[in-house]
Amino acid sequence: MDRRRFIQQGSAAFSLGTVAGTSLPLSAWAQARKDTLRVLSEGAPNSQDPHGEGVSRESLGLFFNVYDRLVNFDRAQLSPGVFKYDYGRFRGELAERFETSADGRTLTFFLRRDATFHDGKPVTAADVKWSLDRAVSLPASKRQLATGSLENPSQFTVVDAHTFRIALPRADRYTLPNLALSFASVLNSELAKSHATAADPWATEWVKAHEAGGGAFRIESFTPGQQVVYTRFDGWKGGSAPQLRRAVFQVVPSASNRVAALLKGDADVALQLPPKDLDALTDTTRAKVVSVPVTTSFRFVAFNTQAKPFDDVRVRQAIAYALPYTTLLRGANLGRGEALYGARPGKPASSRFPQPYPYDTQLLKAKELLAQAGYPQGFKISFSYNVGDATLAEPAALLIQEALAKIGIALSIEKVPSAQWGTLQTEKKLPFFIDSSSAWFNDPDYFFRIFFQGDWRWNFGSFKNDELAKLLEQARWETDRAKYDLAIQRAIEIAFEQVPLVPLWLPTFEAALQPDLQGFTYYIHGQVDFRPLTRS
Amino acid sequence: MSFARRVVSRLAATVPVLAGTAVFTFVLTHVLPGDPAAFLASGPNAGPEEIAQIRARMGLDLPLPTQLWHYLQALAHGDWGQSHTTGQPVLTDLWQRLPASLELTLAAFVLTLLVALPLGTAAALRPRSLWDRACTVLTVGGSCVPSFVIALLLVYVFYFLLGWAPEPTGRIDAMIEPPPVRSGFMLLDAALALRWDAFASAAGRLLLPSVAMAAFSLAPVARLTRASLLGVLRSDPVRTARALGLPPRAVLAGALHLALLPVVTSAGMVFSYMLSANVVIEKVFAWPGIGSYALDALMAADHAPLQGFVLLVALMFVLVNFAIDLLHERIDPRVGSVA
Repeated sequence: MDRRRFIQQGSAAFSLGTVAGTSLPLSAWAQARKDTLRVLSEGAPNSQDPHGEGVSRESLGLFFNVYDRLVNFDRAQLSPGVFKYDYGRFRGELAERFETSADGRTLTFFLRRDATFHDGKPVTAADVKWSLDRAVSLPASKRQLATGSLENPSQFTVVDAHTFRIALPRADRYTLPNLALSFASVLNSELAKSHATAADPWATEWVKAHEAGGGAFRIESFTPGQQVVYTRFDGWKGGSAPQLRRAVFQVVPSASNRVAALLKGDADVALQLPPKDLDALTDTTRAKVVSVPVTTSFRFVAFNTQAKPFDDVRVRQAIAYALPYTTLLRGANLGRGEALYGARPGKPASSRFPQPYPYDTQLLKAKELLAQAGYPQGFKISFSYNVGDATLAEPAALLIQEALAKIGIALSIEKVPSAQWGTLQTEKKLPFFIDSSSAWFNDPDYFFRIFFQGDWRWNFGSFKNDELAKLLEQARWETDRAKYDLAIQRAIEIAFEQVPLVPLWLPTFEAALQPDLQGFTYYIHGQVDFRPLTRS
Repeated sequence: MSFARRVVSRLAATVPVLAGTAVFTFVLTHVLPGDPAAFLASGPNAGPEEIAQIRARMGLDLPLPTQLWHYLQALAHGDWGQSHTTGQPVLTDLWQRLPASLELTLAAFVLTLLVALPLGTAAALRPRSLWDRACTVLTVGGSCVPSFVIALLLVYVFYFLLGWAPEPTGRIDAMIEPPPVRSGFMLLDAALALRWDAFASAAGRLLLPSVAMAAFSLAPVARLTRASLLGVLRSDPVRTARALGLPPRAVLAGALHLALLPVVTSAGMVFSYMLSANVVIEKVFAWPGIGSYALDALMAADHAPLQGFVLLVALMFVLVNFAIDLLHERIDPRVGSVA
């Protein structure tokens, strides 16, 4: 074959490829594309079981699109076309309405009569009971639902086919929010039960790989670790019918490729982008960036408050005065977050939490405190971060190392592989580190219970304080708002003074979208809810 | 020794290698720091008792030799364990993903041979010519620049700037219905189902990753072809053939045949290496192969897929080496008779 013929044939093959690729009539293809949403993410759903164990964060999005719950959080507009869930208000999803008894101990839900599962079977109170029984029996969902006093199958009663009752030992303000989480998803009980075995009465093996829902979308194909294709369930009654017919959720590990696909118009939503890419996208008109402060989370620097030298509160305060807050927020996170430092000294401004701490970079004060604690020359200590978090944590660690050197504290930076990070935190083996974390709910007492007490991983500073424990116990069941605020403000004061850890900033949830997408709603799970999205 | 007996004895010799690999990877993954149970229970509601429960269920609380025994027993029954990142049995995962890796590796390998063999030959025939210089530049460049840089550069230029290449995501356009899975090889499946739109999409998506992969596998094959051919061209038989006035074409054909042995060996090694080490390329192009699977597992303290991956790669190495040995016998009959 000579060269010319080779080139001719090559280009013929190439143009054949182009023609075949668009073999659909152009308008039909455009139509299909318009009704389809393509989401690119770094990770993928790994389970279809809302009560499953070891489910990835992306699975939460699947649970919300594929399953319905009795209730969901209502939403409020943040900026044109962008919404956020409203923690205080609920709207029925499978329940048309619900009633709370005067003593708050009985919740009665009246189910929609026309709702069906994806296989056409009507949704009944028996399905709701079976699903909640399952939720409080399987370990992962059990623990979360217990925070809302949902603990025992005997609490759930089927009154009639469309009426369902929950009995509580005492009125609990965390019951309804828990019922709006994916852990309280309602499964098609007959379908799931037909796949149960004696060894696996809750059909966990089957549900992991097969949805049994009645939500707005059903799963067309599910490839763990790669992609999920959703199609709209036209019989959905839990809300107004979604505009999108199809959604494709795909894993693209490289952030720059996610951005490129978005800018080329091949993708509609790009998630988990590093600050640098988000900054670049903010300047273009070919994409828009949604930024929602996640008020249930924080980025922080933590230390082991039970071991030297951080068992001395003055050392912890010295660190809180020495951290280069502004440089960190701007340098490591390009300013994308709300500052949790620099409040005026004194009492907390409100009972909101996390809120700015009364610390700022004041090296003289830091040195003085160190000297008082008996470390006038400083000390040496290791400072760790999770390699999986390196985009942000690596520059942050370097900035912190440089800043603390000024007060004589020499840091040796340790990069910890992601697989090992959880183990080291659980075993309390990290003396000093940077991380971020979030809780499901925004109430300060809930937040405090997770992060500032207990012998578990989430108490990052291994903090112990008797007064705090008492205040939290009191606030847990307090129904008088004023008394609650008082207790919480005292608890926040303790956190300010004792510094169980040093918060840096409130992270923001960020997603880059095609400019014509409207109605993006940030829900508690931090994933993409396809139901309210529209294309103008 | 007859051919059949040689094959059987060679295959028997691989059994201890594979058994050793299984034991070695088991020990290696279990001395790695990082507790899978703590990782699994990393939801915001997991406490110490839950971690202990998971550990007991996964059998991680048993002594290491007992765990190893259980692992080998399961392996003997064809159970490669369960992945907790994908929620599927490891064997299923690997079986689904191996064709993707093989397809990409084969495409890149063919590309490598198509470029490296002529280039190496041309460079050897005309040392210090423009061809030789080009060969040097290409091989040095390809092996010096990290493959992910080449990959990202290709994506930036050919997808983002020029728009000639399709989106560098996966094996087929997400908007096209994939062909029914028969072999797992996307091109073959599309051709079998006469789905030419899928075939074109899959072929287009294969292009950039295989070029990026070929860039680094080019160097060893091209350099070795050149060196081997240079040696042969200077050897006595070729000089004699030339002196006898054989036509240059016939001389070259003979020389190429003689030069082939080391090239086949290196090409075989390059192929095995490409298959196991294309993790970076798979990550950049969101290619659902076994390399990215193993990397995800490593990040998630997911031991079973990691062990499965190493075992599978060991198996592939053994098979490729075996094939090379057979090929050697075809090229040079002396090899077989000596063994």
